[in-house]
Amino acid sequence: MILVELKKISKAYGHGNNKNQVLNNVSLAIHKGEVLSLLGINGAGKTTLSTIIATLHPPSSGDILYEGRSIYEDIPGYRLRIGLCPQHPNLNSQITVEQNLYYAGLAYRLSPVQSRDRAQELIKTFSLTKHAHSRPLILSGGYKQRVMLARTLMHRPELIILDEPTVGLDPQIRYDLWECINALRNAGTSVLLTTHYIEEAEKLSDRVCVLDKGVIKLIDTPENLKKNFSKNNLESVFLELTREEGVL
Amino acid sequence: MINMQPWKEYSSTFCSLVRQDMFLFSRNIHNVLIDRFIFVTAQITIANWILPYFGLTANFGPFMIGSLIATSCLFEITPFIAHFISDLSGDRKINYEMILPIPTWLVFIKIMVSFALRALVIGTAVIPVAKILLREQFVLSSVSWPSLVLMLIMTSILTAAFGLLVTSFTRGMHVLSSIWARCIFPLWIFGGFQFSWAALNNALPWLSYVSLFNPIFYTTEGFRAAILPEGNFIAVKICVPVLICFSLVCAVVAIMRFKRRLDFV
Repeated sequence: MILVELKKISKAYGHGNNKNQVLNNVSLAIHKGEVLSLLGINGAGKTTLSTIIATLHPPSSGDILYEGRSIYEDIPGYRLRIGLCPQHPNLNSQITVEQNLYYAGLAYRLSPVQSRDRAQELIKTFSLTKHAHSRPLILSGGYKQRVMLARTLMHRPELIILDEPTVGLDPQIRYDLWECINALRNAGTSVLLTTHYIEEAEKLSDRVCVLDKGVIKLIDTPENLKKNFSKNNLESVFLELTREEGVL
Repeated sequence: MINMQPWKEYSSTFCSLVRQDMFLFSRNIHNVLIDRFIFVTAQITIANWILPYFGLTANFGPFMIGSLIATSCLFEITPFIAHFISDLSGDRKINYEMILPIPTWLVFIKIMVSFALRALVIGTAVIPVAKILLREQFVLSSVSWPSLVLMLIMTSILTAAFGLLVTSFTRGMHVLSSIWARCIFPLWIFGGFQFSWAALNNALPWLSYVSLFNPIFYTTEGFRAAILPEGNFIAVKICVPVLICFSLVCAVVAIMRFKRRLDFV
């Protein structure tokens, strides 16, 4: 079942000779309960696409449907059902981890009691108990990322957009986040994961979408991609695909 | 019939964001009040006990109360711009607020409301300080309290809207001193901090007419009209509508500029 459908999304910055076409007629569907990875080298348009889906930035043209309805008809209603975890932590450093989660719950219209309970639940889930009363400023990158993910999950979104969530993290913390993503999928949550770690995409994704210079090159399951390209791993497929297209 | 349901839902998110901002402000309020206390005390001391020796009238202290309330609100603009710009060039916490379940423009209104509440608290705090310093010279019974409250609210709203507008023109922290020197300082110093519009009209009529386009003048004059009702100042009933118009224009232009500059939905 299709949850989100992108229809010919284009995005350009600037005008005339300075025009930079970041996305060009991107169409794809995100199914309910799947992990879809957006793969691409730096500058491929992954972050732009994820921020457009999260309604942070508008597309230059095209439409996004959520369960068949344009999200632009009711943006606040759509925002209640999604969560964006950006690449760079933007937590409030003046308040504690617990308060960051609590206020996020209130902002997503949970009652104070619901918000407090949900914050406690996520603090336990992400092993943040030790740091619940610390300010995010003093946390390591891995813990900040956990708090970011917890904040994204406060309102139980149906679609989670994770923008390069494991960049610069230790292998153990990456592994923990992978576990979390798997748990989300098992719970029926859809996940859009942008990454340039191919191993990550291969391990986690139901389907992989390769984005190159703002254009979708292909979308398929990791198994089909390996089979079609006669390769043992997704990294070889990606390298062949991007080499073929003269990206490298 | 207008469907009010979405607005009830937006107000829940909106109020929670304002509540969070006020919680943060309350943790730092003592520092802000100490800063303003020093400023107000120094200004009243000079105006009331030193300047009369140079020929100024003895009631210049009470005259300055209105200026000091307006200035205390206005001077919050610089830290506001610094905070906003450092966020835009740093963590971008604003991006988080921009994807919350309310319309984008409402987030900017929230920013203005939080700032206005902050300015309101700081402006109000000037009144007891002035009373303690000036004692019987500041006659509370002659104050038009409804007018004073109205002016406090309008000045806070104008400060917030004007602050957001100035911020929308600020490209980075490196231009902050220029913003102060080229924009805020001239508007403030020619906005009737030390003189009334009637006095300016007598001294430099052309400048007095130019000053009618300076919104700060309506704040200082409005406060004086409320605190010293017997004086010759621009009436509150003129100041309030003018401040409403200035605030609306500032807010609309600022929101449009920010949406375009930051490419928000």
